[in-house]
Amino acid sequence: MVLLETKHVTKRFGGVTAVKSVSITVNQGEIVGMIGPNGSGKTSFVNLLSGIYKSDSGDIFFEGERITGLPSHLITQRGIARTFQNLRVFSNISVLDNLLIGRHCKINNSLLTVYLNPSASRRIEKDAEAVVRSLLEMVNLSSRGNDFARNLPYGSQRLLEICRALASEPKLLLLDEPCAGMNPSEVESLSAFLKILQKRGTTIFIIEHNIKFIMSIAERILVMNAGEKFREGVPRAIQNDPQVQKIYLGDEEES
Amino acid sequence: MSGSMFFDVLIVGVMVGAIYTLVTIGYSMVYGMLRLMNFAHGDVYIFGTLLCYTLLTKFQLNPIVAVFAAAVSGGALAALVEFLAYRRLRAAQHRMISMITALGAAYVIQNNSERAWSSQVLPFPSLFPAQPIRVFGQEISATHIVTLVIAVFFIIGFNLFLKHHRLGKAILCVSQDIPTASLMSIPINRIITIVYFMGGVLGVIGGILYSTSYNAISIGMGFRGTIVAFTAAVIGGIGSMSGTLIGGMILGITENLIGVYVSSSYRDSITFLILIIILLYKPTGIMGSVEKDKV
Amino acid sequence: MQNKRAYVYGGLLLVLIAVPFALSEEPYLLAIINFTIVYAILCLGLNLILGYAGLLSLGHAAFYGIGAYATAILMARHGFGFLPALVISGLLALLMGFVLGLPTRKVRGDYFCLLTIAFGEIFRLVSQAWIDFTGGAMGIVGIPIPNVLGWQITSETDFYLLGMVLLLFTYVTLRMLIASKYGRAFIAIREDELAASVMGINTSSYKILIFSIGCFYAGLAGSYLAVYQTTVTPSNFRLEESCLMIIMVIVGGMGRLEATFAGVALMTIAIEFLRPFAEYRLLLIGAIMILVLLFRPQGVFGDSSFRD
Repeated sequence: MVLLETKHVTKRFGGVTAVKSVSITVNQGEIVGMIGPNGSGKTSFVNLLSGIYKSDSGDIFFEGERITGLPSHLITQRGIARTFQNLRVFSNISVLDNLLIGRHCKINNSLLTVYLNPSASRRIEKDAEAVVRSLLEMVNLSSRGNDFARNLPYGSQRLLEICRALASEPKLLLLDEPCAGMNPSEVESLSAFLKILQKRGTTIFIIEHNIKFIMSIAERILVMNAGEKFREGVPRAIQNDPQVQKIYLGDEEES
Repeated sequence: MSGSMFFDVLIVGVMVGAIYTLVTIGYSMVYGMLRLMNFAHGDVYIFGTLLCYTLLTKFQLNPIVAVFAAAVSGGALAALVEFLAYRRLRAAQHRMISMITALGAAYVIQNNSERAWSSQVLPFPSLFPAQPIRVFGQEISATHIVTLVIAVFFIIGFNLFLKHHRLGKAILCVSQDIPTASLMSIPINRIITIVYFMGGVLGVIGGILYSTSYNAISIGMGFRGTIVAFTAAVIGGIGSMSGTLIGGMILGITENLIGVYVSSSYRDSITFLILIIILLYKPTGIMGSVEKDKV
Repeated sequence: MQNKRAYVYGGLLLVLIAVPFALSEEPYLLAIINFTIVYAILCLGLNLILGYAGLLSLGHAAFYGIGAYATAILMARHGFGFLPALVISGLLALLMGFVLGLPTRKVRGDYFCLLTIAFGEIFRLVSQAWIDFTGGAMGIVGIPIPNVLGWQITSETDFYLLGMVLLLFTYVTLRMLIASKYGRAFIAIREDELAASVMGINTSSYKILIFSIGCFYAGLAGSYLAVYQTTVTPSNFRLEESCLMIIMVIVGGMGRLEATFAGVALMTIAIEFLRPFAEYRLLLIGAIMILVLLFRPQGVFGDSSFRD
């Protein structure tokens, strides 16, 4: 079943076309990877998907419904969550609060409840806390719940950001270079973690430069170049494609 | 409403507009460069204007000397405020911290000025001849014309300085992009201090021109001056000299027209109303460009 | 653990109730305390706006004024009772806050600050010029002393108790808000608005909400001022007042409700000490602003996120 579909999505910034008529599909339960040299439009594409940019033309469909042009908060409410390339956890608040904010749209409290039924409101908040604690357990960060996010080691902060995205129980998880700054064992753990998520039914879309990681985890890979979808295929086909290797020449390649 | 009166109002409006432009240049440059709303701007140049008043009346100094000394003092005060209060906060996480600091600086300066000059309206001497002269068959006060000419002279002069003088070009670079400018070994801190200084100098000159036209100077003009600068800068758009000119002119002419033809007691409210309307409908101003957040 | 907290609250409550009786011989001190209470209500609301939403509102005094004038007009000219006037004043301020908050959608942070200044100034200018409605510079006099549900307020002590009730109401309701998901959403918006929107938070609506709620409490404070002073004049609501409130919030600590009490108390004490130096008042306020922001922007007790 097709979960996400883009049709000829285009985004221009002044004279530069960052994303050029990109059409992709992501199926329910897949792990799809997106690679490409720096500046090829990967992050811009994810920004389009998450509503941070408005496309100049083309359409985006999620679960069959048109989400083109919707603001970010509505897109997240529909079930798409994301992390950021340059890590945007809320550094000055606790790990737990970060997760609770991530869970915002799933917490069923309202202003009326807060004031007219405070005990129910408290119970709702407590339940939410229990849910996000279980997320922390999944990544072995239970003991750090009350720490400020900025005090976590970098790799843990990246995990935190992913958990924060998961807190809203998204159907589609968009990860923008989750491995950046991680050491090999952290990458391994992340890989295992994502596979567990996939088993639980989350569809994952990853942008990465770490080719080895992407090849090992993605079922399908999209290659971007100069804003266009350059190639699409299974990992082995992409890995052996000489054209793909060519567009990386002159750019950093990790293997 | 006679045609000649309208012409007179228009000339005064243009003159005031030119003065407003002079006064706004310094503020606009600082905001464009550092995104700092210098709440102390008006109070700084009013200090200079008040100083000029004292030099002229109490010390009977030659006008040219008095103006020069006052302008330099005003510029120095502006640079001092930057050095003492603003510089450390340039990297502050939350921009409103520097804004509030600027407010604090405004209060300190205002209070000092008030203790020195009291809050009365003081009679600023006329520096220019007041007799009417005939232009295009209409009678206008010579003061207005001379003031206008001087203001325009400074505006054009400063523009030329920015475009052709080495220092001016360095300032323009820093206005565009600080990291790049510093990579080109332009001394950022020094340039910023110079910008504050020059903004203060131009502001004082504008203030003196205004006070000599209306023969009045008081502390209250400090806050009003800051608001004028804010409004003109917003109307014209940030980061553009032509924008500052357009903003100053529109503000000066509109204020004057409405002040004469509608009601003079609501003049201040008109300024604020214009500000609100522009902020709501075209916050980037007439010549400004929209900024995008980097993701 | 629970017991300990109950004792602390109980003790605090006893102290607070004892104050007016202990000071019944010192009406001047009690008056200062009453003004402190008003500022506390104002600043709690303002801390919500500044410390949680990150909006620099230099027009808070205008909402204070809207509440005060509303109560003054309703009670002095139309015979309203205090409670209805109080509620209407709060709601009116909330409504105006909503109106002023609407532009936050389109208008960026520092420009919004300008907008609040303009709003505050227009309020002041209009209240001075619209003599028929607002009494002009003389303001409105003869506001009746309130009778709240049968309790006739007479003394400074009575006003203290009334003020305390309002303050308690303000603090408790704000606490409940902050402790909920809304409070966290506010913090998220302050810390990183873009990330907050990606968490499913409608940031523009929330900013309007925060602003309106903060202004509501300003309206309540204004209402109290009206009956406490029995007159309202435009001079109560100048830009200076808004700046003073901002300073109180900052000195206490942005982003933490309890810190506001410290900020209000400290600044009030400072102002009282500096009363002999009245002519330096502005200068000292300004100097405090600069020093606090240069050296301790998070205030005495504030949220660490405001540290440089």
